[in-house]
Amino acid sequence: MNINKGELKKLFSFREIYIGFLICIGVLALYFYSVYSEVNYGNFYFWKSIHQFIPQIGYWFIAIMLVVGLSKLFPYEREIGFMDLIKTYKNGRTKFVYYKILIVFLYSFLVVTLFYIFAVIYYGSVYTIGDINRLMSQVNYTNLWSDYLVNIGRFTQWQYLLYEYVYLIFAGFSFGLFIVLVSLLIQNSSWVMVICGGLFAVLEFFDRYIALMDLGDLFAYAVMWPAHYVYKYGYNGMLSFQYLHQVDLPQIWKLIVYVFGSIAINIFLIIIIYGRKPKC
Amino acid sequence: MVKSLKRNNDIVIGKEIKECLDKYTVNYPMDSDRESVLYILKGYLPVNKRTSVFETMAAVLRLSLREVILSCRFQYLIMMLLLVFLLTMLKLSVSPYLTIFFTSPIPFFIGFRKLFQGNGNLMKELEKTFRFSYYQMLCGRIFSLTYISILLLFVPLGFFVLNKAAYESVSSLKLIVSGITPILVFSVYMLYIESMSRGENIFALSLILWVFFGFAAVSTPIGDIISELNVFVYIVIIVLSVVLFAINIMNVLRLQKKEFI
Repeated sequence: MNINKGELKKLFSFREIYIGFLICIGVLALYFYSVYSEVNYGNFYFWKSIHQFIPQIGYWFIAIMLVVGLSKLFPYEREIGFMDLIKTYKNGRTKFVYYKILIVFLYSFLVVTLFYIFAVIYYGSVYTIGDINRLMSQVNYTNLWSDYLVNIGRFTQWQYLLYEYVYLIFAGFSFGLFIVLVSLLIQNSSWVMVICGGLFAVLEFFDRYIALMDLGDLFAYAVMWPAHYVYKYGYNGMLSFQYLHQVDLPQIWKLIVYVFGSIAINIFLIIIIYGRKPKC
Repeated sequence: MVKSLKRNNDIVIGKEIKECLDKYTVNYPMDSDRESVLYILKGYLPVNKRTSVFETMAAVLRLSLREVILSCRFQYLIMMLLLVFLLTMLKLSVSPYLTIFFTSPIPFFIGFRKLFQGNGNLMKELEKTFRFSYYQMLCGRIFSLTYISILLLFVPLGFFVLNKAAYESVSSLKLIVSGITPILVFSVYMLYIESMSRGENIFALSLILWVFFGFAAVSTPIGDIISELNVFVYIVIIVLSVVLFAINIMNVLRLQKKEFI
C-alpha cells in the first residue's frame, strides 16, 4: 500500500493539475453565471439541470482534467530519468502497472465526484430544498423532458442520478486508461496532452460545427459519417452519455459491454506494452 | 695579483662601454606615431564595460524580436492565410468579437512553441554560459511575441473592417480591445507560469484550456458574456496586464542591478 500513497503523492505533485483545475473552475463559474438568467424556478428543474449538466458541458471539464492529470502519470519516470530505478522494483513491472491503474481509477472517481459536487452545490443554491426533496423519489419525469432523456427502468430521480454518476466514473476510468495507453506509446507528456486533448477537441468541432454546414454530399459521406461514428462510440460520446440515453434497462448489457469492454481492452494493452520484459 | 689585474680590465671595459653609450643617440618616435600605436593596441585590451540595464534590455528585445521574425515568419504567413481563407469561405455564425478574441493569441502560441521547445530544466547549466540570463531572454521573447501578435491582429481586423457591409454593427475599437486583451493576459500568464516552472507541459496545458474555453464560449452563453462585455472592462484588463508585465520586467532589471553590485 506504500507505493499507492507514493504514487498518489506523485500524481498530486503535478502542477498542471492545479493550474488546469483553477482555470476549469473559472470557466465553470463563468458558465454558471451565464446560465443564471436561464434558470427556471419550477419544481423539477433542479433535477433536470443536474441531469443535463454533464452531457451539455460537464464532460468537457472531466475530459480536460483527465487529460491534464494522467498524461504525465507514466512518462514522468522517463522524463526525470528514473526508468532504470523502476526496473529494479522488487514486485515487478506488472504489479507496478496495477498500482498505476488503481491511481487512474481513483483520479477519475475524484474528478467526476468533484464536478458533480459543484453542480449540486450551484443548482442546490438556486432551487428550494423542499422542491428537491419532494421530487427526489419521483419516477415519471419522462414526460417532463422526453425530448432529452429517456426513462430507464422506473428509476427515481436520485436513482437515475446515481446511475449516471457510476456510469461516468467508469467512462472516465476508460478514457483515463486510453490516455495512459497513448502515453505509453508516445512517452512525452506534453505530446500526450496535445494528442488526446486535440483528438477530443477535433471530434467535438466536427460534430458540433462542421456537421451543421452544408459542404456537399461527398464530404458528408467521406468525412462526416465516419467522424460522427467515431464521436458517438468514441470517448466523446461515452462521456457525454450519447449511448447511455439510448439504452433501456433490458438492454443494459450493451452498456456494460461497451464501457467495461473498452476498460478491459485498455488494461490488456497497457499490461502487454508496459509489463513486457525490457530488452537487455 | 691576478684579481687586481682582472678588476683593472673590467674598469677599462666599463669606461669604454660608457663612452660608447654616451655617444649613442636614441631616435624618439614622433608623438603622432606613438598615439597611433596606442590606439591600435587599445583595441586589443579588455575593457571593463558597464552597460546600463536599459541598454541590456534593449539588446535583448532587439535580439528576441529578430529571433521571432526569423524563426516563425513562414508559420505566421500560413496561419494568416488560413485564417483569412476560413473567415471568407466558412462564414461562421460566430460573433466577430468572439472570433477575434479566440484567434488573436494563436501567433503567440505558435511563437512560444517554436522558441521554447526543448527548453526544459536540462538547459539550465548551459544557460549560465549565455550572454543574457534566462529571465531576461524570457521577458524579451514574450515581449516580442506580444508585439508581433498585436501587429498580426490587424489581419483579421482588416478583414472585418473591409467587409463592413456584412458586419455593420461591429465596433472597431471593441474589436481591437477584444483582440489585445487575450494576448496581453496570455503574455502575463506565460511570463509568470514559465518563470515559476519551466517545461513544455505548461504550454500544452494552456493550449488545450484555450481551445476548451473557446468551445465553451461558442456552445454556451459564455460567448454572449464575452462579446457583450463593456469596452471599459476590456481596457481595465489590458491596463492590469500591462502593469503586471511591467512589474515583472522591473524585477528582472532589479535582479541585474544586484548582479552588478
